[in-house]
Amino acid sequence: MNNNSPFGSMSAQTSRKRPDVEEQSGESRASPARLSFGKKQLPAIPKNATPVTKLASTAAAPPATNGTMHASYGPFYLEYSLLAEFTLVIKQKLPGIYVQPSYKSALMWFGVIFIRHGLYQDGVFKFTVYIPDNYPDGECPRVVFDLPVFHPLVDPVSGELDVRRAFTKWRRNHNHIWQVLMYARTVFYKISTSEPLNPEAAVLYDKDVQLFKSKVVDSVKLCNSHLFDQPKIDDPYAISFSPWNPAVHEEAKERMFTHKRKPEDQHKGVQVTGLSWVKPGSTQPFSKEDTSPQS
Amino acid sequence: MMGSGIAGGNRKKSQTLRGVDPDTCMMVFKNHWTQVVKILDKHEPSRCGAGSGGRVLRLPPIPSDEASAVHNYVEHMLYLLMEEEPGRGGAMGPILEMVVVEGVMERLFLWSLRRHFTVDLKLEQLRMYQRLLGHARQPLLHHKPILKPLMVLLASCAGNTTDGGERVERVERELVSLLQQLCVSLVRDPSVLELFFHSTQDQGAANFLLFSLLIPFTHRQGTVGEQARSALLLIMSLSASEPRVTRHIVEHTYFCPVVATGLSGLYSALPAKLQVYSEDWHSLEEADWLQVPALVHFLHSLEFCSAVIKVAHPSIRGQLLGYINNGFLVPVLAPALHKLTVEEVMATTAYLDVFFRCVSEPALLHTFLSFILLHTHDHVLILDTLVSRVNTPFQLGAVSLALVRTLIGLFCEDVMLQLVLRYLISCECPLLVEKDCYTTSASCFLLLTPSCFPLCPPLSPHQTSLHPHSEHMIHWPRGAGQDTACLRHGRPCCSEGLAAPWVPPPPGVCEGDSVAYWRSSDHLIQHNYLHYLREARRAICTATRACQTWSAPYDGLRPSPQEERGEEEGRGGEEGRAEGGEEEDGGGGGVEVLNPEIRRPAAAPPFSADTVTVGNKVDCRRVSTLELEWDDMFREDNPSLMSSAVAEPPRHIQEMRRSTSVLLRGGGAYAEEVDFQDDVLVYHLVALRDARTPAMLEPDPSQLAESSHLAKTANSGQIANVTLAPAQVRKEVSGDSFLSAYRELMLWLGRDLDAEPNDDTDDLITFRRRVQALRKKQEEEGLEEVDFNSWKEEKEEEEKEEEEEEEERSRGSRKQNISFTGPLLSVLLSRLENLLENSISVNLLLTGTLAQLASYPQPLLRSFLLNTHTLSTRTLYQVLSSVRLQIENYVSLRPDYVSIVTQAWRFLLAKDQRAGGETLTKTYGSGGALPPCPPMEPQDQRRVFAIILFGEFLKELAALAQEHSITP
Repeated sequence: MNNNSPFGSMSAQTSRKRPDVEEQSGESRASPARLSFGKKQLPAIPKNATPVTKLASTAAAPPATNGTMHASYGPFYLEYSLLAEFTLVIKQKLPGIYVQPSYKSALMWFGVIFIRHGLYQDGVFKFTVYIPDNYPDGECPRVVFDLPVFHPLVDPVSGELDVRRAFTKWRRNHNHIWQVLMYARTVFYKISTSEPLNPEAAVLYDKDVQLFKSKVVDSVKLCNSHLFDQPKIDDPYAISFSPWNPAVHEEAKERMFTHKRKPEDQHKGVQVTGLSWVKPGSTQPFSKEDTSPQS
Repeated sequence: MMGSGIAGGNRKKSQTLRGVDPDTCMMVFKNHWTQVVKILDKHEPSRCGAGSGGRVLRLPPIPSDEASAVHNYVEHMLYLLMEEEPGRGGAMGPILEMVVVEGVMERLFLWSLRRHFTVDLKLEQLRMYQRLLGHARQPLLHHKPILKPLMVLLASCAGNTTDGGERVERVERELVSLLQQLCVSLVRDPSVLELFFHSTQDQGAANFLLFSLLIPFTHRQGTVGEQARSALLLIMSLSASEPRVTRHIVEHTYFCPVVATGLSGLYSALPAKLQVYSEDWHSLEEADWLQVPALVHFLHSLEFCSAVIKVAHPSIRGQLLGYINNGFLVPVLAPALHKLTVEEVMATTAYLDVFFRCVSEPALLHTFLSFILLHTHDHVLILDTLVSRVNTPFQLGAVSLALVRTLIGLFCEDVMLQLVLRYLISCECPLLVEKDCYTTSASCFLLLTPSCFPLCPPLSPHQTSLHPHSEHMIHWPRGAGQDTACLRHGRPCCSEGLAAPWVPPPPGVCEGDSVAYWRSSDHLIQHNYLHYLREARRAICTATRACQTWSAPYDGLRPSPQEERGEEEGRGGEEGRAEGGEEEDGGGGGVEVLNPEIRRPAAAPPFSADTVTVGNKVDCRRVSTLELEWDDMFREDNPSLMSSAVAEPPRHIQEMRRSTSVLLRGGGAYAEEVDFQDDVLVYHLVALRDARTPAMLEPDPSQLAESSHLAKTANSGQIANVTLAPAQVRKEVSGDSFLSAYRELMLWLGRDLDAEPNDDTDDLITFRRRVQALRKKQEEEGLEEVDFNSWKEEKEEEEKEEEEEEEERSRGSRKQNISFTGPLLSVLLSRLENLLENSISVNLLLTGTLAQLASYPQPLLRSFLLNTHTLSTRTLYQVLSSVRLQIENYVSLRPDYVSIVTQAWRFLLAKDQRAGGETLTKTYGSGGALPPCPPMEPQDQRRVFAIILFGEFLKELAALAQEHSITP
């Protein structure tokens, strides 16, 4: 993602949390997880367990059905579906869009969008994505701007973007949250006026573009003037902006530029390196030529 | 010792010498030397006659007062020499100059010779040099008058150490210690190197005595061995930068053969059978092998090989690896893996497993792995044999599985390619390669949980009312205190953004402002699943990182199925041509065999040079895969799939194949080893002698008896047990087994020709020597007739085999028409299908292996194993479904099982957590009594635990599927 805004000044409060997380992940090495792959064993069987004595409480526990069992795993499914969605978002590298799930709920994501050209140029709009709890079988996620941007498809009161027009029916496997975010970006570059949530904006755009433009400029100015406000929703992971403070941000910026992405390497003490003597493009073992000589 | 007493005295004096005028020192030294020379001259053989007249022939004994006088003078002189500072500009100090000019060291050496060079005198001389080299302030080794007598001393000390005894050992100890000291100074100052090469030139060709003297100690145990090995390693590291050293070692020494064949010697000293105390045992853990001194010894030498390969010059490395392959793996390990009794094969397999776990040097692993992957024994690839043994119902199956698991754990592309991936690449079933976004397969796996499995109780109304807002359904606990800390480990590698997964808060915390979604009383289950997620995450991260070195992602596109096929065809053509040279009609035959339309399950391995064997190897690879598999899955389950018939190979091809294999066998297993043996024969002796521990020096009568017993069984062919692959059994019964032949030979020759103790250590070497003697004899006497007879027999045997093979083949070919995912996967799935009958340890090993396979990041592998759709081939999911059905049927007849399973599960889980020392015990009720394990009959217990393991395995797979779905 590249972005021409002073992104050093953007700081999600997560930075406060980050060291916490890393620290603990380091710790996780020390505490052996149960049933690890390397050393998986059941405890020894007690010696005197041979005679069968009928248990008094045999009929006590009725077999639970798979339905309830499944229900108990439900949160895991939802959690991982959302994580998978988030992974897809990261993969898409949507230009000018940043999102961050809330600390409190994986169903609420905070986001900010930077508009780099067009009518809304220089606009920085914060928004929140609300995902239905029966995801992915429910309706389309909602996108609500913190401040109602002057736009035909944005509700002038609630700030909600009309996403549903693009995703009339949310289809699992076909629709993904990154598409919603992409749509949220597109509306600022390609303006549609049919069935508007903000009729005034729609009419002006169609009838008096100059006036529309000046209203947009005002709206962008208004939004940007509230950039440093406290986040609307109190959440440790809410995105908040602060004025550029060299003491704080310079170093962070430095790190961003110098940090080499070695994913997850630092976490593990023991480095497992794989082996390969397969020539690229071949499917034969030991096909690489520069391997150690065999007589 | 007198020497050490004086050495101690010297140290005290060292302070007093500071500031003493160097000229005075020189004066004292000169004085002493004059006194010494007087005595020396007096007893000089040439002057003895002249001086005291008449006693020319017999040298008189030296009076002890004169000997000790010399000793005392020399001690002082050495001290002065050590303390002397170098002259200006690095010039020699006057004392050193005198030592060099007068040849002091040589005269002193001659003096000790004159005094019959007893052990004490050797020790004295060795220690003298140790002290000199250790403490002198100026370089001494640059001076030939010092270096040369040193070398002569070393050579003469090493010369007669064959007779054991404590005194000789002391000489060896000092000798090796001095050698190591010399190596250290050599590495520190390689400019001396040239002198080392020339120092002994007058005794013959330029040699590197220092190195040669160390070689016999290569495989020695104890401190002497360790010191020698570290000294050798110093020279090895020197070889990396000094081409002269490399050339010398490679061309003029037997270092590599000694090191490699020493492994063979040490290997043959390992117990042929392991005393196994537990039915559940399946691999040699460190605690196990520490109790087998011979194995510890072997591993030390293996470690040394590893170290040499790591630091030495590539050409030494190459030579050593070649000898390890041709001097250990092929002639020793391969036959050992195909021994006659299950116990022996099991021991060998367990040893091999240990070797793989101990070797970390990639080049050495390469040699071991290519042996396993490419070497054929009795026409079957070692790998295929090992994999086929996984299906043996006995302990050998578990041991083989443990080895396979070790191999899988290497994250080696070549291994995985041969074991699994090659089949998946060309697998015709459409594999779901894209990511599973909504964890559907995870839920499918969890839905297979048997109904008798203990479950999380449904949420109470109180709990459901806890989330008023739908978007707040999932919460991370607010007060992320220590209780939840452990759970957040769940995502050690979390990507930006989502910092922690949703975590169920333990009761008692975060009742305040955070909204707890789950307050289930049995949160243990959820904790338990979170652990699986965390573990899955860890495993996937590890595998992903390890596989970064791989050549291709195996995502269904790279490498493409066409590539795999194309390569096979390309090889086919090549082989066809190669065969054409040997056989008139071979060319066409090769192509026919490799007809791409008959989808072969296994592709041929690449070949080096052996044109004769090529066609045969191809064939055997195919046959072996099918015939060894023991997997009747489609014979019974899927009769419809058997209908399609496949044409037999034409007659002439079968003919050709037969003659080729006869050719191979006629040559004898050792044909290719002849040259090598001659080279190494002598060094075997050295290595073997050193390999022997004192205990092994006595011949063991029980071993003798055992080997004769073995030979008997080999003769009668009684142990045609089902556990060995059919092909092997046939070979062994036909008397073609290397082992039985060898044992017979041993017995026969052991009585007639040789008086050496017939213990295991000697088997190999004496066998080799006898084989050579025999071969010579045969050549002289012209025993072709015998050969011809055996040839004939072979031919008949071969024909019988041929028929069997054809049966196998036609059966196999039918299998080929449905997608074949390789012998390993199908063996694993077959064993998994038997979950309820397997022992607990086998089940743990089996599920562990499958889970490890499922944590590999390659989309092909991942989506095949975690796929829950129906494919044209048997999948893990299908097998699990069938196991679940078995469980349900089984439990439906035993209503009391439900509570037993629940109780046993609680017992196991609590026990496991206690063992793991997890924070969970805190919430579970710290220190509380374990829930009781329900009393069960042993066979019930096995089943109950299998059911529990099944449920846990489903969670493990679900967790892997979930974690895979969110891995970027």
